[in-house]
Amino acid sequence: MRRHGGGGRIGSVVGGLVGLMLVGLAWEISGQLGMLGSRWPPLSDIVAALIDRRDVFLRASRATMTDALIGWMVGLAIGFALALVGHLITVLRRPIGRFATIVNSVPWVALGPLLVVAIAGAQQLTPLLFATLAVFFAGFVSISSGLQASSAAHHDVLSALGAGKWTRLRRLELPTAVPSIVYAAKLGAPASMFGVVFGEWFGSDPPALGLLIVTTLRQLQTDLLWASAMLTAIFAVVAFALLAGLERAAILRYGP
Amino acid sequence: MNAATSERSDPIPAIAIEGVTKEFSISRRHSLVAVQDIDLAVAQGEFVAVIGPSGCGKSTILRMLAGLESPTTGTVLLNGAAPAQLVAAHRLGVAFQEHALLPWLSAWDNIALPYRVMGARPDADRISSLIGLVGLSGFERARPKQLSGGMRQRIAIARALALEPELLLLDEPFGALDAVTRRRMNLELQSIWSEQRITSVLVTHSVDEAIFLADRVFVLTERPGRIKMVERVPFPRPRDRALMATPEFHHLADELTLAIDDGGVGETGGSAR
Repeated sequence: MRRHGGGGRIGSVVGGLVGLMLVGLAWEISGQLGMLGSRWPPLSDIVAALIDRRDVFLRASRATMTDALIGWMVGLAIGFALALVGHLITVLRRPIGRFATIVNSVPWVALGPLLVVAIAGAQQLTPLLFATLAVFFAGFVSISSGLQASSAAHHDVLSALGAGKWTRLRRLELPTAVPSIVYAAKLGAPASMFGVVFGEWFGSDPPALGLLIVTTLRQLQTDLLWASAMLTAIFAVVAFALLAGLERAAILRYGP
Repeated sequence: MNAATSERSDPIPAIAIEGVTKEFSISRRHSLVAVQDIDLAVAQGEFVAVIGPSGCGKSTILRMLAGLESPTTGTVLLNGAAPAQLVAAHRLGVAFQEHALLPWLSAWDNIALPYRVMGARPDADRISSLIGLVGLSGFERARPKQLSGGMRQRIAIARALALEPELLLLDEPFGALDAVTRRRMNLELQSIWSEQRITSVLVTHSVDEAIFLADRVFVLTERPGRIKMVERVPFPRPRDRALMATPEFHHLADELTLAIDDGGVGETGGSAR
């Protein structure tokens, strides 16, 4: 399955940091010189805005991250549950797959305003709902295939030892699926962030990162807009990177 | 009546395969006959080897004994009952060419797996004695990935023996090993088996391995596999390394090799190649 070379890890980290610094430097210079127009502030202005308005950003980040975390967990749980039911009850496998695909195909942009209108108080739930939507499908697909990934030879051994459906699930199929579950969690982390931020465009209370992005855009508060967007991206990337590390460990432990 | 009574007083064979044919459908129109008209009886405590050319259906026979396949026609009985019953009672031990150890479990936990599948507490004394038996003391906590091919196979065999099975099925358990390790494993298996005398069926394509380990050797024809020859191995147990150097051993090995090869390439006129 997915394998990562262990060698040169430090080298790639150093390379990444150097690359990041170069980008930051280019950003700062081009911003200072106004090379890309007045809507392209230098990096130092954005950092200054972050520090200056840290109470706002702290509160917004907390609100966004809470929803993202809950949506991520709920989405993964739903994906896992659907995958498990489809795995155990063969006749339901195709219908569940179709249902998940249809739900996943609904255009968010249409769904958002609809939800706000349709359900009173939905505004609070919209970010959570989009996070869940963003996470569950990839989770479902990945975990489904993970549950099917056990080798024929392993199945034969379990069969010959007299294992039933549940023993097989517990002793073979679930452990085999662990890397896929972590993979789903990894893919889901940034997806959940973006789902929440998108949901917050339709309003949030307290003002979360998504709402900050829309309002600062409308008010042409460029520094604050950039700061909000950058925070969102950083959270997503950090969560992804942490889970990528966990995935490597899972493959090492549970992989072939 | 008399005949029936005397038949009933015979001990039930450990394995009774009668008139078994196994056909696999490979597409809507085509099917493949893996084995045909197999009759094979194995007595309690007997070690039987099945040899034959590649693809002759040796493994199919073993898979039917393990309840992993069912015969298209004919019957397979283990101690007078269907294989599924022995399997459900957790009385079957199997080791395949692919060791099929669970990569996330230590050597110890892999050997304990049959207990857990049965829903029983692993017998720690039994597991340590098995680990000692297969010469892996000190490697209890190692994962399969950290062990050599020979060590993994030994764990697979220890796992097969864990519940003191009534029947041991070995499908090319040493097929993936180098010649030296393989011979050493044969010696070990021979001494393990001599202590426990579990009814065993070994599928192999090594004639030497079959003779060294078995009481009787069944030779199959090319596909569809039929039983061509049954040879009783006369050498007393315990057998040791020196046996393989004797003229009697070589003679028997030549005879069986010829039986496998006979009517193969030569008959189809391909001998010039």
